Amino acid sequence: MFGRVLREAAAAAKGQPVVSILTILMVAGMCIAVLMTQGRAVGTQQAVVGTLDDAGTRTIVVRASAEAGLDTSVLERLQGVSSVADATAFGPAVDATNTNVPGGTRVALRDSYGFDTGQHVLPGGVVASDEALELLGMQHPAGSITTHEGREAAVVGSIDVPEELGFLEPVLVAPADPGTLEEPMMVSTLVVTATDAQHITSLQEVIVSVLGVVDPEGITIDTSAQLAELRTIVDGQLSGEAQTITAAIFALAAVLVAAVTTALVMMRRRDYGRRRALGASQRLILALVLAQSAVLAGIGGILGAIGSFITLTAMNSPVPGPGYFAAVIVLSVTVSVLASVFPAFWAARREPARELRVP
Amino acid sequence: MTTLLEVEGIDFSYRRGNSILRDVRESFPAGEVVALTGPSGRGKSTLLYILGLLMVPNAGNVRVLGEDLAKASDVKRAKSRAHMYGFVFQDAALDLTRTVLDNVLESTLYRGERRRDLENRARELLDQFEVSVRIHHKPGEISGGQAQRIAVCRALLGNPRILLADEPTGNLDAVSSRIVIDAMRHQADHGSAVVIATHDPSVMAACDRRVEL
Repeated sequence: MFGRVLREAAAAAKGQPVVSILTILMVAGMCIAVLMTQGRAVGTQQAVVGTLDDAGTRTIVVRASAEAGLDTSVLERLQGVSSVADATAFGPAVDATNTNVPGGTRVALRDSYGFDTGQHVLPGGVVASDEALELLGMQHPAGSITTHEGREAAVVGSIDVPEELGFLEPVLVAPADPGTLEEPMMVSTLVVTATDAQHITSLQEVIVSVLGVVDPEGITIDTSAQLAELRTIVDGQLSGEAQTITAAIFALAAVLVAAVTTALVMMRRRDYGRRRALGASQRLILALVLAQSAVLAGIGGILGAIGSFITLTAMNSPVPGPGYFAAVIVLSVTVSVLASVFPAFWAARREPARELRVP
Repeated sequence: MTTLLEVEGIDFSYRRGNSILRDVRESFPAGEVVALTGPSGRGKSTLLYILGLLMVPNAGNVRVLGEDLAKASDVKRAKSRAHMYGFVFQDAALDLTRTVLDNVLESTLYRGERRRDLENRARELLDQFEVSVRIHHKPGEISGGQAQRIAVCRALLGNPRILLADEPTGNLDAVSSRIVIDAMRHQADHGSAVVIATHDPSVMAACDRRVEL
Protein backbone atom coordinates (compact mmCIF):
# COMPACT_ATOMS: atom_id res chain seq x y z
CA MET A 1 0.00 0.00 0.00
CA PHE A 2 2.90 2.33 0.82
CA GLY A 3 4.29 1.97 -2.70
CA ARG A 4 0.86 2.61 -4.20
CA VAL A 5 0.41 5.77 -2.13
CA LEU A 6 3.86 6.94 -3.20
CA ARG A 7 3.07 6.30 -6.87
CA GLU A 8 -0.28 8.06 -6.55
CA ALA A 9 1.42 11.01 -4.84
CA ALA A 10 4.03 11.14 -7.61
CA ALA A 11 1.29 11.05 -10.24
CA ALA A 12 -0.61 13.81 -8.44
CA ALA A 13 2.59 15.89 -8.34
CA LYS A 14 3.09 15.32 -12.06
CA GLY A 15 -0.45 16.51 -12.66
CA GLN A 16 0.29 19.84 -10.97
CA PRO A 17 3.53 20.85 -12.69
CA VAL A 18 3.60 24.51 -11.67
CA VAL A 19 3.17 23.92 -7.96
CA SER A 20 5.43 20.89 -8.08
CA ILE A 21 8.24 22.77 -9.82
CA LEU A 22 7.82 25.62 -7.36
CA THR A 23 8.13 23.25 -4.42
CA ILE A 24 11.14 21.50 -5.95
CA LEU A 25 12.83 24.84 -6.59
CA MET A 26 12.17 26.01 -3.05
CA VAL A 27 13.60 22.86 -1.50
CA ALA A 28 16.53 22.86 -3.92
CA GLY A 29 17.15 26.51 -3.01
CA MET A 30 17.03 25.64 0.66
CA CYS A 31 19.59 22.87 0.16
CA ILE A 32 21.83 25.10 -1.92
CA ALA A 33 21.63 27.87 0.69
CA VAL A 34 22.59 25.44 3.44
CA LEU A 35 25.31 23.68 1.49
CA MET A 36 26.88 26.80 -0.02
CA THR A 37 27.07 28.55 3.34
CA GLN A 38 27.12 26.13 6.21
CA GLY A 39 28.11 23.21 4.02
CA ARG A 40 31.20 25.12 3.02
CA ALA A 41 31.85 26.03 6.65
CA VAL A 42 31.43 22.40 7.63
CA GLY A 43 33.78 21.40 4.81
CA THR A 44 36.35 23.82 6.20
CA GLN A 45 35.72 22.56 9.69
CA GLN A 46 36.12 18.98 8.59
CA ALA A 47 39.36 19.87 6.84
CA VAL A 48 40.72 21.77 9.87
CA VAL A 49 39.65 19.16 12.37
CA GLY A 50 40.93 16.45 10.04
CA THR A 51 44.33 18.11 10.03
CA LEU A 52 44.27 18.54 13.79
CA ASP A 53 43.21 14.93 14.12
CA ASP A 54 46.27 13.71 12.25
CA ALA A 55 48.32 11.29 14.27
CA GLY A 56 50.81 14.04 15.14
CA THR A 57 48.19 15.82 17.17
CA ARG A 58 47.22 12.64 18.93
CA THR A 59 50.76 11.66 19.83
CA ILE A 60 52.48 11.64 23.21
CA VAL A 61 56.25 11.18 23.19
CA VAL A 62 57.94 9.99 26.37
CA ARG A 63 61.71 10.34 26.53
CA ALA A 64 63.55 8.44 29.19
CA SER A 65 67.17 8.75 30.32
CA ALA A 66 69.13 5.59 30.97
CA GLU A 67 68.75 6.20 34.74
CA ALA A 68 64.97 6.37 34.50
CA GLY A 69 64.72 2.62 33.95
CA LEU A 70 61.88 2.62 31.39
CA ASP A 71 61.56 -0.76 29.72
CA THR A 72 59.39 -2.60 27.20
CA SER A 73 57.03 -3.93 29.87
CA VAL A 74 55.26 -0.56 29.64
CA LEU A 75 53.82 -1.66 26.27
CA GLU A 76 52.01 -4.54 27.95
CA ARG A 77 50.53 -2.19 30.54
CA LEU A 78 49.34 0.25 27.85
CA GLN A 79 47.49 -2.51 25.99
CA GLY A 80 44.64 -2.32 28.48
CA VAL A 81 44.09 1.43 28.02
CA SER A 82 41.10 2.03 25.75
CA SER A 83 42.16 5.50 24.61
CA VAL A 84 45.45 4.17 23.22
CA ALA A 85 45.37 3.57 19.48
CA ASP A 86 49.01 2.55 19.17
CA ALA A 87 52.18 2.38 21.28
CA THR A 88 55.73 1.93 20.07
CA ALA A 89 58.92 1.84 22.05
CA PHE A 90 62.45 2.52 20.82
CA GLY A 91 65.70 1.56 22.47
CA PRO A 92 68.59 3.98 22.91
CA ALA A 93 70.21 5.22 19.71
CA VAL A 94 73.45 3.54 18.70
CA ASP A 95 75.69 5.04 16.01
CA ALA A 96 76.04 2.90 12.90
CA THR A 97 77.89 3.31 9.62
CA ASN A 98 77.85 1.58 6.28
CA THR A 99 80.02 -1.50 6.68
CA ASN A 100 81.46 -0.85 3.22
CA VAL A 101 82.31 2.77 4.05
CA PRO A 102 84.43 2.68 7.17
CA GLY A 103 84.46 6.09 8.80
CA GLY A 104 81.36 7.10 6.86
CA THR A 105 78.49 9.18 8.15
CA ARG A 106 76.99 7.85 11.35
CA VAL A 107 73.28 7.22 11.56
CA ALA A 108 71.28 6.32 14.65
CA LEU A 109 70.20 2.69 14.91
CA ARG A 110 67.34 1.98 17.25
CA ASP A 111 65.77 -1.27 18.35
CA SER A 112 62.03 -0.88 18.07
CA TYR A 113 59.21 -2.71 19.84
CA GLY A 114 55.72 -2.65 18.35
CA PHE A 115 56.70 -0.61 15.30
CA ASP A 116 54.95 -1.62 12.10
CA THR A 117 57.49 -1.49 9.27
CA GLY A 118 54.92 -2.69 6.75
CA GLN A 119 57.15 -5.60 5.79
CA HIS A 120 58.48 -8.82 7.23
CA VAL A 121 61.94 -8.31 8.66
CA LEU A 122 63.91 -11.32 9.82
CA PRO A 123 65.60 -11.08 13.24
CA GLY A 124 68.86 -9.22 12.92
CA GLY A 125 67.68 -7.24 9.90
CA VAL A 126 67.17 -3.50 9.90
CA VAL A 127 65.14 -1.10 7.78
CA ALA A 128 66.30 2.38 6.92
CA SER A 129 64.58 5.65 6.21
CA ASP A 130 65.35 7.28 2.85
CA GLU A 131 67.32 9.97 4.61
CA ALA A 132 69.37 7.33 6.45
CA LEU A 133 70.04 5.44 3.22
CA GLU A 134 71.30 8.61 1.59
CA LEU A 135 73.60 9.39 4.53
CA LEU A 136 74.90 5.83 4.51
CA GLY A 137 75.61 6.13 0.78
CA MET A 138 73.22 3.33 -0.15
CA GLN A 139 71.27 3.80 -3.37
CA HIS A 140 69.02 0.87 -2.51
CA PRO A 141 67.99 -0.64 0.80
CA ALA A 142 70.57 -3.41 0.53
CA GLY A 143 73.84 -3.72 2.33
CA SER A 144 74.99 -3.90 5.89
CA ILE A 145 75.71 -1.57 8.74
CA THR A 146 78.07 -1.81 11.66
CA THR A 147 77.65 -0.08 14.97
CA HIS A 148 80.53 1.44 16.84
CA GLU A 149 80.07 -1.45 19.30
CA GLY A 150 80.82 -3.86 16.47
CA ARG A 151 77.27 -5.14 15.96
CA GLU A 152 76.61 -5.90 12.30
CA ALA A 153 73.21 -6.05 10.68
CA ALA A 154 71.78 -6.37 7.18
CA VAL A 155 69.75 -3.53 5.69
CA VAL A 156 66.74 -5.33 4.21
CA GLY A 157 64.27 -2.61 3.45
CA SER A 158 63.29 1.01 3.58
CA ILE A 159 60.54 2.73 5.49
CA ASP A 160 58.54 5.92 5.26
CA VAL A 161 58.89 7.44 8.68
CA PRO A 162 55.45 8.58 9.91
CA GLU A 163 55.07 12.28 10.57
CA GLU A 164 54.72 11.76 14.30
CA LEU A 165 58.11 9.95 14.38
CA GLY A 166 59.84 12.55 12.28
CA PHE A 167 61.98 13.57 15.25
CA LEU A 168 63.80 10.22 14.96
CA GLU A 169 65.11 10.96 11.46
CA PRO A 170 67.52 9.87 10.05
CA VAL A 171 67.01 6.43 11.50
CA LEU A 172 67.76 2.76 11.13
CA VAL A 173 65.20 0.57 12.82
CA ALA A 174 65.77 -2.94 14.08
CA PRO A 175 62.24 -4.20 14.69
CA ALA A 176 61.48 -6.74 17.37
CA ASP A 177 58.23 -8.26 18.59
CA PRO A 178 57.86 -7.25 22.25
CA GLY A 179 55.93 -10.47 22.89
CA THR A 180 58.95 -12.62 22.05
CA LEU A 181 61.41 -10.90 24.36
CA GLU A 182 62.87 -13.10 27.05
CA GLU A 183 63.25 -10.14 29.36
CA PRO A 184 62.19 -6.46 29.21
CA MET A 185 64.52 -4.29 27.16
CA MET A 186 65.62 -0.77 27.93
CA VAL A 187 63.57 1.94 26.24
CA SER A 188 64.62 5.52 25.59
CA THR A 189 61.60 6.70 23.63
CA LEU A 190 57.99 5.72 23.95
CA VAL A 191 55.52 6.99 21.35
CA VAL A 192 51.84 6.63 22.24
CA THR A 193 49.04 7.59 19.83
CA ALA A 194 45.63 8.37 21.31
CA THR A 195 42.39 7.27 19.65
CA ASP A 196 41.18 10.87 19.72
CA ALA A 197 42.92 14.22 20.20
CA GLN A 198 40.41 15.01 22.93
CA HIS A 199 41.90 12.25 25.09
CA ILE A 200 45.41 13.63 25.08
CA THR A 201 45.35 15.26 28.51
CA SER A 202 43.75 12.36 30.31
CA LEU A 203 45.92 9.84 28.49
CA GLN A 204 49.05 11.68 29.53
CA GLU A 205 48.08 11.14 33.17
CA VAL A 206 47.42 7.48 32.53
CA ILE A 207 50.79 7.03 30.84
CA VAL A 208 52.63 8.61 33.74
CA SER A 209 50.91 6.18 36.08
CA VAL A 210 51.91 3.07 34.10
CA LEU A 211 55.49 3.96 33.18
CA GLY A 212 56.88 2.04 36.13
CA VAL A 213 60.19 3.90 36.11
CA VAL A 214 62.86 3.94 38.77
CA ASP A 215 63.67 7.62 38.47
CA PRO A 216 60.75 9.86 37.38
CA GLU A 217 63.16 12.77 37.12
CA GLY A 218 64.66 11.13 34.04
CA ILE A 219 61.37 11.28 32.15
CA THR A 220 60.20 14.07 29.84
CA ILE A 221 56.83 14.04 28.12
CA ASP A 222 55.92 15.96 24.95
CA THR A 223 52.26 16.26 23.98
CA SER A 224 50.17 18.29 21.60
CA ALA A 225 47.66 19.24 24.28
CA GLN A 226 47.42 22.79 22.96
CA LEU A 227 46.49 21.60 19.52
CA ALA A 228 43.92 19.26 21.03
CA GLU A 229 42.45 22.20 22.90
CA LEU A 230 42.42 24.23 19.68
CA ARG A 231 40.59 21.38 17.97
CA THR A 232 37.87 21.42 20.59
CA ILE A 233 37.48 25.19 20.24
CA VAL A 234 37.36 25.12 16.41
CA ASP A 235 34.96 22.19 16.38
CA GLY A 236 32.60 23.74 18.91
CA GLN A 237 32.62 27.20 17.36
CA LEU A 238 31.99 26.14 13.79
CA SER A 239 29.35 23.59 14.79
CA GLY A 240 27.44 26.14 16.87
CA GLU A 241 27.34 28.76 14.10
CA ALA A 242 26.44 26.16 11.49
CA GLN A 243 23.53 24.89 13.52
CA THR A 244 22.08 28.35 14.10
CA ILE A 245 22.20 29.46 10.47
CA THR A 246 21.03 26.09 9.17
CA ALA A 247 18.08 26.16 11.55
CA ALA A 248 17.16 29.65 10.30
CA ILE A 249 17.30 28.57 6.64
CA PHE A 250 15.22 25.47 7.31
CA ALA A 251 12.66 27.47 9.30
CA LEU A 252 12.26 29.92 6.43
CA ALA A 253 11.93 27.08 3.95
CA ALA A 254 9.36 25.37 6.16
CA VAL A 255 7.19 28.49 6.10
CA LEU A 256 7.45 28.69 2.29
CA VAL A 257 6.70 25.00 1.79
CA ALA A 258 3.73 25.26 4.16
CA ALA A 259 2.42 28.25 2.19
CA VAL A 260 2.76 26.49 -1.17
CA THR A 261 1.24 23.26 0.11
CA THR A 262 -1.66 25.18 1.64
CA ALA A 263 -2.26 26.91 -1.69
CA LEU A 264 -2.06 23.53 -3.42
CA VAL A 265 -4.66 21.82 -1.23
CA MET A 266 -6.96 24.83 -1.41
CA MET A 267 -6.83 24.72 -5.20
CA ARG A 268 -7.37 20.96 -5.20
CA ARG A 269 -9.96 20.71 -2.44
CA ARG A 270 -12.60 19.46 -4.86
CA ASP A 271 -10.24 16.62 -5.73
CA TYR A 272 -9.88 15.70 -2.10
CA GLY A 273 -13.66 15.83 -1.75
CA ARG A 274 -13.99 13.45 -4.71
CA ARG A 275 -11.37 11.11 -3.30
CA ARG A 276 -13.20 11.04 0.02
CA ALA A 277 -16.50 10.29 -1.72
CA LEU A 278 -14.95 7.45 -3.66
CA GLY A 279 -13.67 5.78 -0.51
CA ALA A 280 -10.46 7.48 0.62
CA SER A 281 -10.24 7.80 4.38
CA GLN A 282 -8.99 10.97 6.00
CA ARG A 283 -5.85 9.05 6.89
CA LEU A 284 -5.21 8.19 3.26
CA ILE A 285 -5.68 11.80 2.13
CA LEU A 286 -3.25 12.85 4.84
CA ALA A 287 -0.75 10.26 3.62
CA LEU A 288 -1.19 11.34 -0.02
CA VAL A 289 -0.49 15.01 0.71
CA LEU A 290 2.50 14.20 2.91
CA ALA A 291 3.87 11.69 0.39
CA GLN A 292 3.52 14.25 -2.40
CA SER A 293 5.44 16.73 -0.30
CA ALA A 294 8.10 14.13 0.48
CA VAL A 295 8.52 13.15 -3.18
CA LEU A 296 8.91 16.77 -4.30
CA ALA A 297 11.24 17.60 -1.40
CA GLY A 298 13.32 14.52 -2.18
CA ILE A 299 13.74 15.58 -5.80
CA GLY A 300 14.48 19.17 -4.74
CA GLY A 301 16.96 18.00 -2.11
CA ILE A 302 18.86 15.79 -4.54
CA LEU A 303 18.95 18.50 -7.21
CA GLY A 304 20.11 21.06 -4.64
CA ALA A 305 22.82 18.73 -3.38
CA ILE A 306 24.08 17.99 -6.89
CA GLY A 307 24.06 21.69 -7.79
CA SER A 308 25.91 22.62 -4.62
CA PHE A 309 28.49 19.88 -5.08
CA ILE A 310 29.22 20.99 -8.63
CA THR A 311 29.42 24.66 -7.61
CA LEU A 312 31.62 24.05 -4.56
CA THR A 313 33.94 21.86 -6.60
CA ALA A 314 34.11 24.41 -9.43
CA MET A 315 34.87 27.17 -6.91
CA ASN A 316 37.56 24.99 -5.35
CA SER A 317 35.84 25.44 -2.01
CA PRO A 318 35.91 22.88 0.80
CA VAL A 319 33.22 20.27 0.18
CA PRO A 320 31.59 18.65 3.20
CA GLY A 321 31.53 14.86 3.37
CA PRO A 322 28.80 12.72 1.77
CA GLY A 323 27.22 12.25 5.19
CA TYR A 324 26.56 15.99 5.40
CA PHE A 325 24.94 16.00 1.94
CA ALA A 326 22.76 13.04 2.90
CA ALA A 327 21.81 14.71 6.17
CA VAL A 328 20.79 17.92 4.38
CA ILE A 329 18.60 15.97 1.93
CA VAL A 330 16.97 13.97 4.72
CA LEU A 331 16.45 17.14 6.74
CA SER A 332 14.92 18.88 3.70
CA VAL A 333 12.43 16.07 3.25
CA THR A 334 11.64 16.01 6.96
CA VAL A 335 11.15 19.77 7.14
CA SER A 336 8.92 19.73 4.05
CA VAL A 337 6.81 16.88 5.36
CA LEU A 338 6.42 18.56 8.74
CA ALA A 339 5.54 21.85 7.05
CA SER A 340 2.84 20.02 5.09
CA VAL A 341 1.16 18.45 8.10
CA PHE A 342 -1.28 21.30 8.70
CA PRO A 343 -2.37 21.64 5.03
CA ALA A 344 -2.62 17.85 4.84
CA PHE A 345 -4.99 17.79 7.80
CA TRP A 346 -6.98 20.54 6.18
CA ALA A 347 -7.22 18.53 2.95
CA ALA A 348 -8.19 15.38 4.83
CA ARG A 349 -11.06 17.15 6.53
CA ARG A 350 -12.70 18.40 3.34
CA GLU A 351 -16.38 17.49 3.33
CA PRO A 352 -17.19 15.76 0.05
CA ALA A 353 -20.77 16.98 0.16
CA ARG A 354 -19.65 20.61 0.30
CA GLU A 355 -16.86 20.29 -2.25
CA LEU A 356 -18.77 18.27 -4.83
CA ARG A 357 -22.04 20.16 -4.82
CA VAL A 358 -22.76 22.09 -7.98
CA PRO A 359 -24.41 25.42 -7.20
CA MET B 1 -36.01 -8.35 -2.16
CA THR B 2 -33.04 -7.80 0.15
CA THR B 3 -32.88 -4.36 1.66
CA LEU B 4 -29.39 -3.06 1.04
CA LEU B 5 -29.79 0.42 2.39
CA GLU B 6 -32.18 1.76 4.96
CA VAL B 7 -32.61 5.03 6.80
CA GLU B 8 -34.70 5.57 9.87
CA GLY B 9 -35.57 8.73 11.79
CA ILE B 10 -33.11 10.88 9.87
CA ASP B 11 -33.00 14.50 11.02
CA PHE B 12 -30.64 17.00 9.51
CA SER B 13 -30.16 20.73 9.72
CA TYR B 14 -27.22 22.93 8.81
CA ARG B 15 -25.60 24.84 11.63
CA ARG B 16 -27.56 28.06 11.36
CA GLY B 17 -30.33 26.94 9.10
CA ASN B 18 -33.75 25.43 9.38
CA SER B 19 -34.28 21.74 9.53
CA ILE B 20 -33.73 20.21 6.07
CA LEU B 21 -34.75 16.63 6.80
CA ARG B 22 -37.06 15.49 9.55
CA ASP B 23 -37.72 11.89 10.53
CA VAL B 24 -36.97 10.44 7.11
CA ARG B 25 -37.58 6.70 6.84
CA GLU B 26 -36.90 4.81 3.66
CA SER B 27 -35.51 1.52 2.53
CA PHE B 28 -33.79 0.77 -0.74
CA PRO B 29 -33.90 -2.85 -1.79
CA ALA B 30 -31.73 -4.60 -4.30
CA GLY B 31 -33.00 -4.40 -7.85
CA GLU B 32 -34.91 -1.14 -7.42
CA VAL B 33 -34.18 2.26 -8.93
CA VAL B 34 -35.50 5.01 -6.66
CA ALA B 35 -35.78 8.68 -7.57
CA LEU B 36 -35.41 11.33 -4.87
CA THR B 37 -37.48 14.22 -6.13
CA GLY B 38 -38.84 17.53 -4.95
CA PRO B 39 -38.18 21.24 -5.33
CA SER B 40 -34.73 22.68 -4.84
CA GLY B 41 -33.69 23.10 -1.21
CA ARG B 42 -35.79 20.23 0.11
CA GLY B 43 -32.75 18.10 0.86
CA LYS B 44 -32.50 15.67 -2.06
CA SER B 45 -28.74 15.95 -2.33
CA THR B 46 -28.39 16.12 1.45
CA LEU B 47 -30.27 12.85 1.85
CA LEU B 48 -28.23 11.34 -0.95
CA TYR B 49 -25.00 12.29 0.80
CA ILE B 50 -26.31 10.93 4.10
CA LEU B 51 -27.22 7.69 2.32
CA GLY B 52 -23.70 7.68 0.91
CA LEU B 53 -22.14 8.09 4.37
CA LEU B 54 -20.67 11.40 3.25
CA MET B 55 -22.63 13.41 5.79
CA VAL B 56 -23.56 12.56 9.34
CA PRO B 57 -27.21 13.16 10.25
CA ASN B 58 -28.13 14.96 13.46
CA ALA B 59 -30.20 11.94 14.39
CA GLY B 60 -31.24 8.63 12.94
CA ASN B 61 -29.71 5.50 11.51
CA VAL B 62 -28.23 4.64 8.14
CA ARG B 63 -28.14 0.87 7.84
CA VAL B 64 -26.00 -0.66 5.14
CA LEU B 65 -26.76 -4.38 4.87
CA GLY B 66 -28.27 -4.13 8.32
CA GLU B 67 -25.34 -2.39 9.97
CA ASP B 68 -25.84 1.15 11.22
CA LEU B 69 -22.99 3.25 9.88
CA ALA B 70 -24.45 6.74 10.40
CA LYS B 71 -22.00 7.57 13.14
CA ALA B 72 -19.33 4.99 12.44
CA SER B 73 -15.66 6.00 12.37
CA ASP B 74 -14.27 7.76 9.33
CA VAL B 75 -12.20 4.72 8.41
CA LYS B 76 -15.20 2.40 8.54
CA ARG B 77 -17.42 4.72 6.51
CA ALA B 78 -14.65 5.25 3.96
CA LYS B 79 -14.16 1.51 3.68
CA SER B 80 -17.87 1.01 3.10
CA ARG B 81 -17.94 3.71 0.44
CA ALA B 82 -14.98 2.14 -1.31
CA HIS B 83 -16.33 -1.41 -1.29
CA MET B 84 -20.13 -1.03 -1.32
CA TYR B 85 -20.88 2.22 -3.10
CA GLY B 86 -20.66 3.79 -6.48
CA PHE B 87 -21.18 7.54 -6.91
CA VAL B 88 -22.13 9.59 -9.95
CA PHE B 89 -22.01 13.33 -9.44
CA GLN B 90 -23.79 16.04 -11.39
CA ASP B 91 -20.68 17.34 -13.12
CA ALA B 92 -18.79 14.04 -13.36
CA ALA B 93 -16.11 15.30 -10.93
CA LEU B 94 -13.23 13.80 -12.83
CA ASP B 95 -9.60 14.52 -12.02
CA LEU B 96 -8.61 16.90 -14.80
CA THR B 97 -4.91 16.17 -14.41
CA ARG B 98 -5.22 12.42 -15.04
CA THR B 99 -6.19 10.38 -18.08
CA VAL B 100 -9.61 8.88 -18.63
CA LEU B 101 -8.29 5.42 -17.73
CA ASP B 102 -6.67 6.74 -14.55
CA ASN B 103 -9.98 8.30 -13.56
CA VAL B 104 -11.91 5.08 -14.04
CA LEU B 105 -9.33 3.15 -12.05
CA GLU B 106 -9.02 5.72 -9.24
CA SER B 107 -11.14 3.84 -6.71
CA THR B 108 -8.89 0.75 -6.87
CA LEU B 109 -6.50 2.66 -4.63
CA TYR B 110 -9.19 3.09 -1.98
CA ARG B 111 -10.24 -0.56 -2.17
CA GLY B 112 -6.66 -1.73 -1.91
CA GLU B 113 -6.92 -3.47 -5.27
CA ARG B 114 -4.13 -3.76 -7.78
CA ARG B 115 -4.71 -1.39 -10.64
CA ARG B 116 -3.61 -3.83 -13.32
CA ASP B 117 -6.11 -6.44 -12.09
CA LEU B 118 -8.99 -4.15 -13.05
CA GLU B 119 -7.57 -2.52 -16.13
CA ASN B 120 -9.32 -4.93 -18.47
CA ARG B 121 -12.67 -4.37 -16.77
CA ALA B 122 -12.12 -0.61 -17.00
CA ARG B 123 -11.46 -0.92 -20.73
CA GLU B 124 -14.58 -3.08 -21.15
CA LEU B 125 -16.72 -0.51 -19.36
CA LEU B 126 -15.28 2.35 -21.42
CA ASP B 127 -15.96 0.30 -24.53
CA GLN B 128 -19.50 -0.42 -23.39
CA PHE B 129 -20.11 3.28 -22.83
CA GLU B 130 -18.48 4.19 -26.13
CA VAL B 131 -15.62 6.25 -24.73
CA SER B 132 -12.84 3.72 -25.15
CA VAL B 133 -11.11 5.68 -27.91
CA ARG B 134 -10.36 8.41 -25.41
CA ILE B 135 -8.72 6.45 -22.62
CA HIS B 136 -5.40 8.29 -22.72
CA HIS B 137 -6.99 11.72 -23.06
CA LYS B 138 -7.46 14.12 -20.19
CA PRO B 139 -11.04 15.03 -19.19
CA GLY B 140 -10.50 18.55 -20.48
CA GLU B 141 -10.25 17.15 -23.99
CA ILE B 142 -13.64 15.41 -24.02
CA SER B 143 -17.27 16.50 -24.03
CA GLY B 144 -19.52 16.77 -20.97
CA GLY B 145 -21.54 13.78 -22.09
CA GLN B 146 -18.44 11.65 -22.44
CA ALA B 147 -17.17 12.85 -19.04
CA GLN B 148 -20.38 11.76 -17.38
CA ARG B 149 -20.22 8.35 -19.06
CA ILE B 150 -16.64 8.02 -17.78
CA ALA B 151 -17.91 8.91 -14.30
CA VAL B 152 -20.46 6.10 -14.63
CA CYS B 153 -17.68 3.71 -15.63
CA ARG B 154 -15.75 4.78 -12.53
CA ALA B 155 -18.81 4.18 -10.35
CA LEU B 156 -19.47 0.75 -11.84
CA LEU B 157 -15.87 -0.50 -11.81
CA GLY B 158 -16.12 -2.02 -8.34
CA ASN B 159 -19.55 -3.52 -9.14
CA PRO B 160 -21.14 -1.62 -6.22
CA ARG B 161 -24.12 -2.94 -4.28
CA ILE B 162 -25.39 0.61 -3.85
CA LEU B 163 -25.25 3.17 -6.65
CA LEU B 164 -26.00 6.80 -5.82
CA ALA B 165 -26.34 9.55 -8.39
CA ASP B 166 -26.83 13.27 -7.89
CA GLU B 167 -28.52 14.87 -10.90
CA PRO B 168 -26.54 12.59 -13.21
CA THR B 169 -28.21 13.90 -16.37
CA GLY B 170 -28.25 17.55 -15.39
CA ASN B 171 -25.90 18.71 -18.12
CA LEU B 172 -26.39 16.00 -20.69
CA ASP B 173 -28.08 15.73 -24.05
CA ALA B 174 -30.84 13.21 -24.59
CA VAL B 175 -28.59 10.49 -25.98
CA SER B 176 -26.08 10.68 -23.14
CA SER B 177 -28.91 10.86 -20.59
CA ARG B 178 -30.40 7.68 -22.01
CA ILE B 179 -27.08 5.87 -21.81
CA VAL B 180 -26.59 6.90 -18.19
CA ILE B 181 -30.12 5.93 -17.17
CA ASP B 182 -29.85 2.59 -18.94
CA ALA B 183 -26.60 1.88 -17.12
CA MET B 184 -28.27 2.48 -13.77
CA ARG B 185 -31.22 0.36 -14.68
CA HIS B 186 -28.85 -2.40 -15.75
CA GLN B 187 -26.97 -2.18 -12.46
CA ALA B 188 -30.23 -2.49 -10.50
CA ASP B 189 -31.22 -5.50 -12.59
CA HIS B 190 -28.00 -7.12 -11.48
CA GLY B 191 -28.86 -6.76 -7.81
CA SER B 192 -27.83 -3.28 -6.79
CA ALA B 193 -29.92 -0.62 -5.09
CA VAL B 194 -29.90 2.58 -7.13
CA VAL B 195 -30.88 5.98 -5.75
CA ILE B 196 -31.00 9.04 -8.00
CA ALA B 197 -31.57 12.62 -6.85
CA THR B 198 -33.15 14.31 -9.88
CA HIS B 199 -35.35 17.00 -11.32
CA ASP B 200 -35.42 15.38 -14.72
CA PRO B 201 -38.87 14.00 -15.61
CA SER B 202 -37.38 11.48 -18.03
CA VAL B 203 -35.19 10.09 -15.25
CA MET B 204 -38.14 9.97 -12.85
CA ALA B 205 -40.12 8.11 -15.46
CA ALA B 206 -37.39 5.49 -15.76
CA CYS B 207 -37.31 4.82 -12.00
CA ASP B 208 -39.32 2.16 -10.18
CA ARG B 209 -40.34 4.45 -7.35
CA ARG B 210 -40.21 8.07 -6.30
CA VAL B 211 -39.47 9.47 -2.88
CA GLU B 212 -40.87 13.01 -2.74
CA LEU B 213 -39.11 15.37 -0.34
